[in-house]
Amino acid sequence: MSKVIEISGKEFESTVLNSGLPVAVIFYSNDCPICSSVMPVFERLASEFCEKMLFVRVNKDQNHELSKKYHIKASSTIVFFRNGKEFCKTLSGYTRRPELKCVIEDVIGNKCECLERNKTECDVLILGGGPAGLTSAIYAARSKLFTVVVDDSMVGGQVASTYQVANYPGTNGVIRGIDLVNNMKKQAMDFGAQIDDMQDVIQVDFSGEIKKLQTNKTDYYARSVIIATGATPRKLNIEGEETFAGKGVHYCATCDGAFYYDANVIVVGGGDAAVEEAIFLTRFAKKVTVVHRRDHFTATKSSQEELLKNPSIEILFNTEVKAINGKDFVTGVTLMDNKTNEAYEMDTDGIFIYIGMQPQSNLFKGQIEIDDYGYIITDENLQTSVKGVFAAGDVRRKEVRQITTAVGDGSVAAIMAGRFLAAYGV
Amino acid sequence: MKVTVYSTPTCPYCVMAKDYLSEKNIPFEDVDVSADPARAREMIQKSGQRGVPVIDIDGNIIIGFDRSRIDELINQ
Repeated sequence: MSKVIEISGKEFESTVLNSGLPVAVIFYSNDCPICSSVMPVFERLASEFCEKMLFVRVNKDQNHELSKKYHIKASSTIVFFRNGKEFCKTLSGYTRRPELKCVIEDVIGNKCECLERNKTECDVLILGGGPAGLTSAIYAARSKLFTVVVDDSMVGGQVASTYQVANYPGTNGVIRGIDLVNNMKKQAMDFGAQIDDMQDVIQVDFSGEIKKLQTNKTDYYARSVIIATGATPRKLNIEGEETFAGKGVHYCATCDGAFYYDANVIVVGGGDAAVEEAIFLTRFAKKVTVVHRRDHFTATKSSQEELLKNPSIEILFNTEVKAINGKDFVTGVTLMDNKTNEAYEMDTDGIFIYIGMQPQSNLFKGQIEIDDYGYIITDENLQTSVKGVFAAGDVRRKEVRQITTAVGDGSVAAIMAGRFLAAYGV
Repeated sequence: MKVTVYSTPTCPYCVMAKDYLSEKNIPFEDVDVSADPARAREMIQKSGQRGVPVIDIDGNIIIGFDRSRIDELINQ
């Protein structure tokens, strides 16, 4: 007879929290391949240790509130309790017998020595939770691969800070960026992907067959990795830029635009982001000046047309920003006409910088091939120079960077990672 | 503990910061600085800058969604 008792959220307090014995609780879901491999190990150890520990199983999907309370994201997750409180380590994903046994012995012995850090083993480890990473997660999790997304912030990437997305197919053309990514996140989680956001990533090691990722709390192990770390706004690297960050220098119009009600602002850049955010800023500012070093915009024609017919927007082509000036806050900029090399001052209350992106690939330097600009080089199936390691989205060397292309990359990378794993019988 | 979040409705990091506090069951006052110029000035005075979100936890000012700093202050 099984020594593991099945309980619901209602019985949790009386059975687990008020238990005299330490308790091991396994959160599982039906139709979860990892659970079917971990559960027999859990059952076996339950019979072995049943006199000293209580073993309980909770259906994660039928007990949402309880799972949420203990931050259970993956099936299966084993949490230990002693005197009504969480104790020692939490084990997520594939858990082998020696490991589980060691923690059980620690909990019974009222110590916690054998695992100093949390450990998560998965099939596909995705770094970065923007559209590329979340799409990979949707595809991989739906293929019943145990998939974990690790992000150093909240998931969403650059799209999260885009006010409105006009060109994502299948939407009404006015969807908010944050809603779009939240939908993707929910879809990934519904298929069973685990999302570990807010992680401080320390290092990666792609040298072995099993790739490793270390965060401040957890060691992740996976046979295949998808890098979807994206890019961050590029800086002008001019005088005053750092001094006045947040004090008139901004990189997110949707965040900080509202402070420039009835003010004069400058937008630097000529791509889609610069043009669209300049239009957005006219909601607040009385005048927006777009400063661009070339003699034409590279943004989509329809955005350009909208920009041109907006009476609050002035355009300065062939113009570069040389310095940002002010005292406590920005009061003006030094501009230069790059045809005549003539420099002049202009008063402004704020400057919004949209001059492209910097790929986030520093972590992988020396482990995979990266080009001179920091972009990761892949083959046509998005595999990097290391087998089993794929790259998707803005961090990859390519010509076009759109939400749609990130999503395309994400699906290709996940399918190819699945094929790569199939060779190992996963 | 008194927590105030100065935010704008279109700012995703503000949404993230507020979600994070709610997740930790920390009650807070949500100030929409785009709708309230007086409170916007108050925020600029407290933080010395104009970027949102600004989080005031018992007089300690956090600029941006700095999770580790939030953790530090709410765990005190």
